[in-house]
Amino acid sequence: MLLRRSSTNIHKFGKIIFLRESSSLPVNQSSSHDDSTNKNTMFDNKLKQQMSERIPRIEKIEVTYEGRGIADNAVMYMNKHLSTPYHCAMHISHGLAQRGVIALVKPQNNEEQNDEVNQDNVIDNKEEDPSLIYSMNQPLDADCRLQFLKFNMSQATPWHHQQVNKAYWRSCAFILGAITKDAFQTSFSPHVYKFPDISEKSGAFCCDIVLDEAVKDWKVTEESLVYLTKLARGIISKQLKFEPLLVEPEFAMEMFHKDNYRRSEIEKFHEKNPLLPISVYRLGNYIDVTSGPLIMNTSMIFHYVVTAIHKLHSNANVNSWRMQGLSLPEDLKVHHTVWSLLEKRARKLVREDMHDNDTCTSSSSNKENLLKYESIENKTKIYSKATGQWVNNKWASADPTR
Amino acid sequence: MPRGYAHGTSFRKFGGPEKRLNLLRTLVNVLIKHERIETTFAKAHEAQKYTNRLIEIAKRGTDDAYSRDMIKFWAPREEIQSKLLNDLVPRFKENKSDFTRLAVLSKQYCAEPRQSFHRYAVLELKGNPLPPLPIQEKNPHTLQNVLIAAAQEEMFNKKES
Repeated sequence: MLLRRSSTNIHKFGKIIFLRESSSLPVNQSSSHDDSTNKNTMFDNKLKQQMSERIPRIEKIEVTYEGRGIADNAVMYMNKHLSTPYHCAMHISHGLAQRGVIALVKPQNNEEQNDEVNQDNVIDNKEEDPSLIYSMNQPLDADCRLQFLKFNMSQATPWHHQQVNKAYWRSCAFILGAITKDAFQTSFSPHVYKFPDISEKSGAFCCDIVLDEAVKDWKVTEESLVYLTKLARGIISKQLKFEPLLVEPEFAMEMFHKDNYRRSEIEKFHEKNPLLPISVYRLGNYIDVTSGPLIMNTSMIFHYVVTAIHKLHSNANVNSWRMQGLSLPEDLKVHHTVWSLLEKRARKLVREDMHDNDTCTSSSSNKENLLKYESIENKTKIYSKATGQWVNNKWASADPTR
Repeated sequence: MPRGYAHGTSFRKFGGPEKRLNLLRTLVNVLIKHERIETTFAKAHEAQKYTNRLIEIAKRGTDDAYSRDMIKFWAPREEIQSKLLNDLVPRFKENKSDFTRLAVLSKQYCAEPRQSFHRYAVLELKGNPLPPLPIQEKNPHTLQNVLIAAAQEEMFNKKES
């Protein structure tokens, strides 16, 4: 019944929205505010379809936990395609479930491990661990050995830490993408263009936006940045999960049928790894494709600030801007003097993925206060007067419209 | 206000300004000679700061009159001066500020002169030949340390250029 209704809805939308065939633009400028509800319904229906296939025929898989302490080499019998690493962590301990960021999964066959079969699914680090990285909410497929990665690990290789940091950076950029629609007025017609692949050393995570052609001379003020951070805080305080969905590329192309850039990305990914499914993540109302796993929950985030919006001049046709932000997790809190240093650095335009040919100027000249730098975090968070430290769950006005 | 003023005790006195300086001078000299000492936490914490400053001064070289005077006061004996300038300065070429490590031990009961509990600590120079202390060093790969290191590098490069 539900499936039939959704199909009629898609049919209706297909009639109203007319697609432009210009492939030079990354985006078809059409009514995109209806798109999120469409994507949400598709996501829900796909989830229900997958669940209805799996639940009546539950198979068991053997999961061994590799860790230190009492629960070392514990064997758990979990449900195939249904139970996630988070469920396994809940069986082991409360601290693991709260602190685990991503899971390292080494698939284990009962026969000898065939390297040929696994090579397609292996990440391109042959020197490092030949194991897969799963986000905590992603269901497990087969017998495996589980290992949990956290932010603070005493005995771990640098590669482990890099993967954790990358996943965190990706999920913070994802939140930036989730803000854009609510942040701007409809006359701006905002659209999330892409999440550029930027490492943590550049100092900020980025999200490229495309705004309306008519708004080329928009000037960014401090108030708008504060407003954006308050919006982000509103999403983070709800403590939503990053829900993953593993999907065939055809379904993903259908979901993002208006977005040329995403479709080209999906095609490239499919060519590289023809056997892997495409992971689509959802946070609240926002749905998007990502290049890797995300963290489990927004409750892990402590500091979060949108530091800058710079105008990019790379493409003359397109009015593209780059939103930058800075954030740190709860386990790795930082003193407010150190935070102001990092935030000051994050205001500069990040040029890591741009070639030297593209010349981009910063949008607004920030007056360099030599005496005192006023961080945006101070305006959005409440700090206790007794200890001088920020209180975790409280932030300066619950209503972002104020 | 600095945190020390909050509960009434501002800075450590150690029995007076002259006595304090003599005590710290002996501690610094002994550290340089033996490379690892065990004292109360308060003495070790103060001595750590003075040794860091001394080594920083010695790295600048003896051309300066100020550094010559400082080294003469804080390391009056010949053997310790020579060790400072010939062994420690080339050892800490790459380190910028911290040359020592402080490990805190549990509280120990002292029957004399007063029945009280004192916290002991072990202070050592980095790069010493003794077996290592069981301390958790700062992990340079966690997210906040990566960000801080990158920011410091940028500031450093900016200063040079």
